[in-house]
Amino acid sequence: MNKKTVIMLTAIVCVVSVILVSIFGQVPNFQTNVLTKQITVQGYLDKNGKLIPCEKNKAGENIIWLETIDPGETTIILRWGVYPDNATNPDVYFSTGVDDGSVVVSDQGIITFYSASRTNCIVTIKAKDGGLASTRVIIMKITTNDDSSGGVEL
Amino acid sequence: MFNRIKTLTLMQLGNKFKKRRIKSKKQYALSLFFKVLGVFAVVAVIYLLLSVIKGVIFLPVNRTTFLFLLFFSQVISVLACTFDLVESLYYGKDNQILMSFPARHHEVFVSKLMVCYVGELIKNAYFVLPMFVAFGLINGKGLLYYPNAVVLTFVLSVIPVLVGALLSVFVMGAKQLLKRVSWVGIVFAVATVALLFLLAHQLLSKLDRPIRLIEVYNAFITKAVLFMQKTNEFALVYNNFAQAAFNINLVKNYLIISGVVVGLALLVVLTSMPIYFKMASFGGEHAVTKKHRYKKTKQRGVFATLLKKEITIISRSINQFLQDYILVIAMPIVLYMLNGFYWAMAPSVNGIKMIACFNLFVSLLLLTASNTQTASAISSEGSEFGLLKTSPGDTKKVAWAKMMINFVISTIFIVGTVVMLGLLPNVTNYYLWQTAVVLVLVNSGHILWSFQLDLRNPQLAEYSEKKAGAQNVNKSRSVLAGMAMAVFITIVAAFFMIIDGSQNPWMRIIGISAGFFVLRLVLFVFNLKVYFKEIEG
Amino acid sequence: MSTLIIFAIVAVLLFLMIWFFDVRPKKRGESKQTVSKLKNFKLKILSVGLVVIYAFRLFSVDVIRECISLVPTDALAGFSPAGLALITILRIFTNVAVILAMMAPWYKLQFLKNLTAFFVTATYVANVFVFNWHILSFVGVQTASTLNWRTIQFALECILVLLIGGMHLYDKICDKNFAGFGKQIVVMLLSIVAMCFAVLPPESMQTLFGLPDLVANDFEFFHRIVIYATFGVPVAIYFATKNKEYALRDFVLTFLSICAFVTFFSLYGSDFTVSNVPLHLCHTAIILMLISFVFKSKKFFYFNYFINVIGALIAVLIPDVTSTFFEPGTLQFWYNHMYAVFLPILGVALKIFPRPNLKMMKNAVIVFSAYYVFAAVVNTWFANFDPGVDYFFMRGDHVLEFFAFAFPLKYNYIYTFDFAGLVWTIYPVYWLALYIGFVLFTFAEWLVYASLYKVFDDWGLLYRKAKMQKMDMLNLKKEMNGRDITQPLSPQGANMIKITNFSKKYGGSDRYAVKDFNLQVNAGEVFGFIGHNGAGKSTTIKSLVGIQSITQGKMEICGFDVEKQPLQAKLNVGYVSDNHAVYEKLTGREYINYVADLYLVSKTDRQQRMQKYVEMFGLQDFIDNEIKSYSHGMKQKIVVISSLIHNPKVWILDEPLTGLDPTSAWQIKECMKQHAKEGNIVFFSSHVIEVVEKICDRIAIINGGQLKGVYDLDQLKKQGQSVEQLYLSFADKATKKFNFAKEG
Repeated sequence: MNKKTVIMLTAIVCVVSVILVSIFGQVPNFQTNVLTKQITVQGYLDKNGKLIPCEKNKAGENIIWLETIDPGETTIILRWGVYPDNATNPDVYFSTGVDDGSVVVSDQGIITFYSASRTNCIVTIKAKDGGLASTRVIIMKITTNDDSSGGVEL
Repeated sequence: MFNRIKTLTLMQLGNKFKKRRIKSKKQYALSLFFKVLGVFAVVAVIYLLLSVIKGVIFLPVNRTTFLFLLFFSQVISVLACTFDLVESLYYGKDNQILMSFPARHHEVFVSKLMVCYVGELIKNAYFVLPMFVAFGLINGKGLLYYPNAVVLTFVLSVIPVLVGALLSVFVMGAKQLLKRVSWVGIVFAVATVALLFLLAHQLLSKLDRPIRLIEVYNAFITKAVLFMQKTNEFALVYNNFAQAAFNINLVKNYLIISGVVVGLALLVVLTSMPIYFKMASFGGEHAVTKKHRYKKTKQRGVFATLLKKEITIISRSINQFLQDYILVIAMPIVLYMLNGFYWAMAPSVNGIKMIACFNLFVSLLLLTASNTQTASAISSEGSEFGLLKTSPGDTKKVAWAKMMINFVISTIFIVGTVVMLGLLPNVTNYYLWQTAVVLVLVNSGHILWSFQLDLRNPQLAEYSEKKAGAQNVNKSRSVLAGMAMAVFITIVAAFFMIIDGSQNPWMRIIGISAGFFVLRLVLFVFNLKVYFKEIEG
Repeated sequence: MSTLIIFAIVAVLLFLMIWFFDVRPKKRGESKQTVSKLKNFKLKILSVGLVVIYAFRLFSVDVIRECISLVPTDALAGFSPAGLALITILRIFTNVAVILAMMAPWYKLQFLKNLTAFFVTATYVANVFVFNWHILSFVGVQTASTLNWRTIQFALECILVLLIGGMHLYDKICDKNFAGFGKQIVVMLLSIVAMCFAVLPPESMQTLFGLPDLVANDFEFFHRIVIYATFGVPVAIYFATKNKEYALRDFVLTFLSICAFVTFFSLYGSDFTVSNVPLHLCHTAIILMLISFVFKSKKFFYFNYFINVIGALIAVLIPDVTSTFFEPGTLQFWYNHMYAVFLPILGVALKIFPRPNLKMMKNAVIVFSAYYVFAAVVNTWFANFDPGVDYFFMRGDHVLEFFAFAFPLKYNYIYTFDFAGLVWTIYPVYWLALYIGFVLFTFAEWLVYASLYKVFDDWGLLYRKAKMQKMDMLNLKKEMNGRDITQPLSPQGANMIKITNFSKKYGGSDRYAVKDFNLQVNAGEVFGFIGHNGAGKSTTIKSLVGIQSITQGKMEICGFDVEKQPLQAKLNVGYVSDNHAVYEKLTGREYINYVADLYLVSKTDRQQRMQKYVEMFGLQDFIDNEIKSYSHGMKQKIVVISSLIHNPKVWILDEPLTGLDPTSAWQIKECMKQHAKEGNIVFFSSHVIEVVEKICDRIAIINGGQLKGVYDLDQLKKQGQSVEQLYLSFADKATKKFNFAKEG
């Protein structure tokens, strides 16, 4: 046991103490981790890139009406926003709840229909930061009374 | 020539590494086995550390890190070798014997470099080679990597020796200059301390507040990697070592390494070797005979005369003084930097308590490690202790005289530390003076304890023979006792401040520190009274 | 009925005293010793009987335990608060008295005999008078009215105790030796108070004071008081008894071990279930401690010492109780664990048992391992009948509360199987971790014990040495016969060195460096001391000047004993050492001034002498240079000057001319002659015979640590014998043979 050992030990203690104080002894940073509180769907882009706002149903949910669904061709590019603006992680993820591949949504909010029999779907948008913010977009094909298959419960 | 060099080298090695005489082949094999086991143990430890670095700290463990560690360790080796060679080549006590042998001066020079090389090789066998192996294991290197590592270790050990031999000339020159104009040394030392303080202050002011280590961790790792990469740009030949170790352009790198080694060897042969004898004898021929001004004779009491003697000797051995007290001198700067960092982290109430505990711990570690001078106070008298034994009067007062100096210096630096901490924002005077009281009490108790260790087990014969180079087991006991006290007081402080959450934890901590001091004082007084007269010179 | 019982007790008692103990005037021819031995043997039989009888009461339930704050329960209706208080206090005294009665026949202690004679007898006489109250407190109003086995038990107990106490009282009265009895009363009273606390019935505090909100847990104030008491009480017992006779120390610790047993098991009659079988480590400790102290069993004792102390200490620091302190179960917990902590430690400290070694600790760990396996099996087995079973905390979470990280170790590794119709649940990883943790604690405990032994031994040695030094001073004052201790012890030796039967042994060596050395050197002499290397010259000189101790014999300088009056002796001595050691960082002048200060030389004297000697030795140009720049001869001259700066009466030089040039050697020789001429003594050692021949008046030859002879040089010259011839005549045969061959 000599001075060199003490020097080494002191250096280790200094480093460990800084780490311990930073983990257990700091005032929490209340300003970080602003969670997404709300996701709003602004609308979707049409063929010409124009933003078309969504309609609302009786429940106040966003609804997009489609006149035709061409498998592989019909795409809807969603546009959305998060509130508040300074949310730490504004990313969202999309899901259709459909496994059969008849309709697929990408991470960028591009919905593509692959089956003519799929006449509607509900796309759920959820915040990635683990908060509870989410919203739904209902996409419906405008039907006549004969169209009754491939429906989904709204 | 080679035989003479071999004889000189073996003689010096025999003297340097004289340990238990190995009586049989079995003992030798056993001793070798344990040494190899030791190397494997170091490999295991380094492997574990690298695994933690990789898996927990998330620092990449690759060629960059390897080169950085290798370069850093070799810079330290070069410095260590330089100072070792200055002592060995120019101030070695064995020069008187070696120079009188029927051998040329350059043969003596080469033998000393060989001895330094062997020492360096042993050090590298216990650190650099295990580091090579651990890196190989972590990075899943092939079988050829390991014999390559052994070869590189042998070659690597040459470079610090050769560079040290070159630099030793300049260091020797500087030493001689400082001997003549000693005030330069003092000015240099003071300037270094002031510069360090300014640097510390600058670094701290540059930190973004509050520092949140967890949040900036990724950025910190990236910066660390960049720093290592930038440093590696200056690694010179060590870059080639790292590449050779990782089997990149093996032949080319080995050629470069060989070239560098040969080049350095040539430089040494052409520069350091020819002037070796002149440099070695310079010290003796130009010994500075200092005449001290005659001061009027005063009659002093026993304590005053003992104290005056101690102060006089210290003032004429500044190097030894600095060596003894370097840790306590560094304490204010270390604590200032550490606390600057702590307070830049916006500590919570719990954090402030943790800071108080860590401050006590670090301060006590540094303070108590500096009391080794007291732990060899009696032993360092050596043969001169006979004078204290034969003198009438209460020569036990020599204990108080010797401890007084240690106590005064420690207290000055404790006050200095407290003053420097007071410069930081958010640090209250209440906390500062309480810390100072605890440090003074515990350190004083430790000083008494250290002296008592030497009093009970004086190594007078060892010091009579070897003077300053003597090994004293009491010093390591003192350091160990100091560590134990530092741990104990920190646990007590943590208990009262954090766990117990009492209203007035400082009073209790001061109470316990005072209790320790009183206990040590009482024990010391009794021990001094009983055992001083039993010491046989 | 109670009156009837009292009469019965008295009658039986009297009968037994007359018949069993033969309390009559002594028959002629009977020896006192034989009678006494027989009586003691009979008392021992009674004591054993008492143990058996008392055990019935110990393991019984008493209804008084339900009472709180002197409020009688329904079972004790009719008792007033005062009566309740009286009976409670009497029960405390009874506990003490019954244990003293059990122990009295086995110890030959006057203190114990007095206590038994007076306190025990008085207590049980009082018990007989309030016999009915006792029965009420045992069984309650309803059962007390009829004859029940508790009545019989207590009656028997009273008879036995009164017999024992009565016989002791009878002996005391017959002895008629009451010298110092007044002082003993105070000691006895204090002892009784202490004993009452030692064997307090756990329900007493609740009965007397109720249940105040005092919880000893979580290191709160009251918990800390209890912890301090756990360490403070044994310290007090240690200091009170450490200097007493062995029998008393043994009695105190055995008494306490019985108290521990009684306080623990007195609550056992109630609420006995499978989960409180005494298999907890600290419960087994109580039983093992009793066996250790009563039967002096080392095996059980050291198991307690190593294993139970640490377990009990942990329990004291992190207790398993949260109820109020006066609650009987809580009080029992604290008593149990405090005794388990300090009794074994006191057993070693008071030297009832010798200090253990590492081997004993290893044996204790082996026994603990067996206990651990047993406890694991019993835990698993009994858990089928009572889920609360938790021996050694192997099933509960008490330990895990403090080591939260170990929760997964327990709950992630649970294995259950069926066997013999029972469900067996085991926690192998947790149990293994608990075992390893405890064993590691035990080894750490050994380190603590070893360190404490070292510390206490050191303190003990320090104390004894300090005491010896004090005694030496007192002896010196006695020897001085009223004279001041600064006067010479032997005034007739004022002008001489006198060495009488001096012998010196170094450290742990068996060999004498110098043996039986006798010498006298007178004032005005230059005395030479010659011998070969290692003959003992430096040893003798170093002992004379005070550097080394004297193993045997006496050395006097100017009448002052070197050992007893070192300061006065040293004031008269100037010493030149053989190693010419000086502080090389000091200048010559500084060094001489330093020595002058140590020898209390006045400013004027030192200046005069310094000037004289510096000029004599030609050091004027070098005196203000650092000594490290001096040559060997110059260093020697500085040492010579500093040794003469106080003009000593005795000048001792150890090989002063070694390595000196002729001029320097001559200067020093002249100095020596001059100093002797002034009426002082010059005593120097050398192995250079020519020098000795030239300047000495007398010489002594030492060989192999023994003085071979003292010779006057003038006489030798007259006899025509040279010093060399004389010296060689003492040389060994080998040397003589060589010389003979050389000459031949």
